[in-house]
Amino acid sequence: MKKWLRNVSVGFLTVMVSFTFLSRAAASVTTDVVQTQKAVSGRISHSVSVSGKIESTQEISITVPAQRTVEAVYVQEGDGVEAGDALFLLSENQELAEAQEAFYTWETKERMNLETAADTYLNAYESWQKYLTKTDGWYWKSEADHEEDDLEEAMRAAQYEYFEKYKTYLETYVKWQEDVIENFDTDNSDVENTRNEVFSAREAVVTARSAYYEYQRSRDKTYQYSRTDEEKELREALEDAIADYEEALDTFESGLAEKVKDIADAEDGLSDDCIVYAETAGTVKDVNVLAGDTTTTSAAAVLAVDSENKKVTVTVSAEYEEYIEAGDSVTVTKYGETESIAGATISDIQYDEDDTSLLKVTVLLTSTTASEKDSSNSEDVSAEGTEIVIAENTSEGLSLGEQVTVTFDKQSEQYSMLVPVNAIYTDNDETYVLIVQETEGILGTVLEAQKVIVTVLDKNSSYAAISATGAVDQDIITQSDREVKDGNRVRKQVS
Amino acid sequence: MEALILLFILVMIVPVCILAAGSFMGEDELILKLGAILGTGDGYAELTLTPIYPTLKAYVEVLLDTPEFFVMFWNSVKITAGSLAVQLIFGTLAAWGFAKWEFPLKKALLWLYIVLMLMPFQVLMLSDYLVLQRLNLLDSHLGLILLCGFSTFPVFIMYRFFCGIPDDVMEAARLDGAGDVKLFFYIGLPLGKSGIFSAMILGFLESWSMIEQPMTFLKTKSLWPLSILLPEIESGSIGFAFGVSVLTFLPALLIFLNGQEYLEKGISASQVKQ
Repeated sequence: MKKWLRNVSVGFLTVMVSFTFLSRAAASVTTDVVQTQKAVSGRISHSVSVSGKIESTQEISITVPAQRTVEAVYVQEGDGVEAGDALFLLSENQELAEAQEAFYTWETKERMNLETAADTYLNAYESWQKYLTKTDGWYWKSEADHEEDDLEEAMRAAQYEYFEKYKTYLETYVKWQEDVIENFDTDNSDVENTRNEVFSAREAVVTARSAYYEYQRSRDKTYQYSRTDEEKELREALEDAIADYEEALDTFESGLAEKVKDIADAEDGLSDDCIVYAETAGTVKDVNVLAGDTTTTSAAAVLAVDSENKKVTVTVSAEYEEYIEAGDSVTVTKYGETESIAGATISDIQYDEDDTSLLKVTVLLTSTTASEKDSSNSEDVSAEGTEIVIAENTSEGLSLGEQVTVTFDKQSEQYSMLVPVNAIYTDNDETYVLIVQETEGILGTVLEAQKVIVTVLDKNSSYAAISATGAVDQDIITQSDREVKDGNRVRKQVS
Repeated sequence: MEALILLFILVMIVPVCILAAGSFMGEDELILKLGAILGTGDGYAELTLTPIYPTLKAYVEVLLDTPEFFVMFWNSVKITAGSLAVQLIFGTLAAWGFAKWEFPLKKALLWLYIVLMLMPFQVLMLSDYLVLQRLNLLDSHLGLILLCGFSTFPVFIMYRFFCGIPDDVMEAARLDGAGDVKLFFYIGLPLGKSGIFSAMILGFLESWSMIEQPMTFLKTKSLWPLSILLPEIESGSIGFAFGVSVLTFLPALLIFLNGQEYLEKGISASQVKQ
């Protein structure tokens, strides 16, 4: 045979042998490597965990007088308060303000009258004193006259002292009123002290006057030493001034008593009217007013009172609505801890007012004791043969505002075919899984992906319950290194 | 006369050239030119010997993306080699016996061989199937090998060549002390080499391209020979089909070209001996 022909033949044979292996290598590279799993029976667990804060089941609405201006807000949401803590500062009571203004007006006017009468008396007293000083020495008096003069002197001095004390009392009272308005200092101890001094001085006047008049009466009424006309006029002026001042004093005192009573009536509850205090200890849940707002009849704040029963309100997506029912048990876990608090139950489920795709779920936490469940009553396959113990609920160990994690877990009915979710494919409204089927081909027994139409009955993020026309006993493709289509040759991954 | 012969040559060789040219065309170009044949176009098919956009895509697809081609290729090699080996062993012996031995009913048996040789596969298919079934050789290469190996056609071809060996040569060898075995191996085979090679070449062409027997007796796809691959190709893979056709045709061409000399020698030698 010709050499070139021989070479071509050998070359052709060599090519065939080489590409026999190369084509196999290329086929193995292009063959999809898949992970498979058989369908299992079980239940679909619908579990969702959300976070929330512990709240009180008992809430107190803090109301304030309406039509008042909020001067200051002393708390914010989440603050803990004790009984008696100040919450809000409101503007002053109009009635009290009017009473106080009326008092000031009246007090100023009457005090001026009183001071005028006092000044008149003081001037008359000084004039009389000057006359006595001037005439004392050349005007002969008996010892009894001097004693009478001394008693009269003592009486006048006592009256003078009394007027001075009363003046001091008035000044102290005015100052106290100003402190109450400006600094809310209701400490009236100075007023009380000065008032007591006034009373003491008044008693001294009464005592001195009684001694003077009694001495006069005890002397011979027929005995009268001559007095000069000037002295008589001065003594009459002094008496008139005393009478006028005492009359002005009586008028002022009676009017003052009346005005003070008016203010007392308006001030009744002053500390409760301008400052709003917390009635009980708790946590501020809501603050509905701001500084500068005008108050209304609605609650200015809501106080959550720490109680034995607590609750937590969480937000979940509405797609879990069918898995959450009132009365279902949930698990509550403290943030950052692994130990769970069982026994919590769902008490209320509402749609979020602002977003209807969300649900507001209220979980109630109550104190329970440790209990045991008989597994024969349990429908949970995973608990077969074991006793389930509910741990003691420690809702007392939870404080208001504490962050917790609430886990809703609901088990579905028993399904005969559960597959991983990523084994489900959807194409043109057709849901299917790919099973690995052995087929006989030119290359021998090969594995091919075969499409099986299924219906998804239930699913969560991990598994799906399916139903097919027939039983799906073969391995189902759950993962692959590339997209697998119906009819593709596949290779099982060796784990 | 030469022009007429040339015309026949062209008529015979043009399909092969079209096949080779088509294997270097892309799918789009093939559909464009052969649309009328494929049913995707109207009018007539356009047969060209040179592709406008030559590509090796068909060969890449066959050689790299289709390991099935090589499975079937080596199946064909296995069946053909086995058949030729059986023919070489039993056919040559049978032909030598018919040519150089005398035994009762020799002519009747030879006529039977000729009659069997003339019968188409469809006639013998049932009897072959029953025999293979009884021997548990259905769906196996051995059954096919035995079926082709015991074909009567090579016996007939070699019989004519062995008949052309002069009896004088045989007598001379006998006088030298050669027995029947030595006569066969030292006289018959060397002198009948041309005929044997001719029979082998014709047997190769027959075995390499047989379709009915594998389709009838082989159910397992992994045992199929290359000749069955073409009918399995989808109508949308014309380029792939052209590539497979060329690669299937090449071994036969190479064998024929390598054995052409023996074919010519055999034919001329038989004439000289006559």
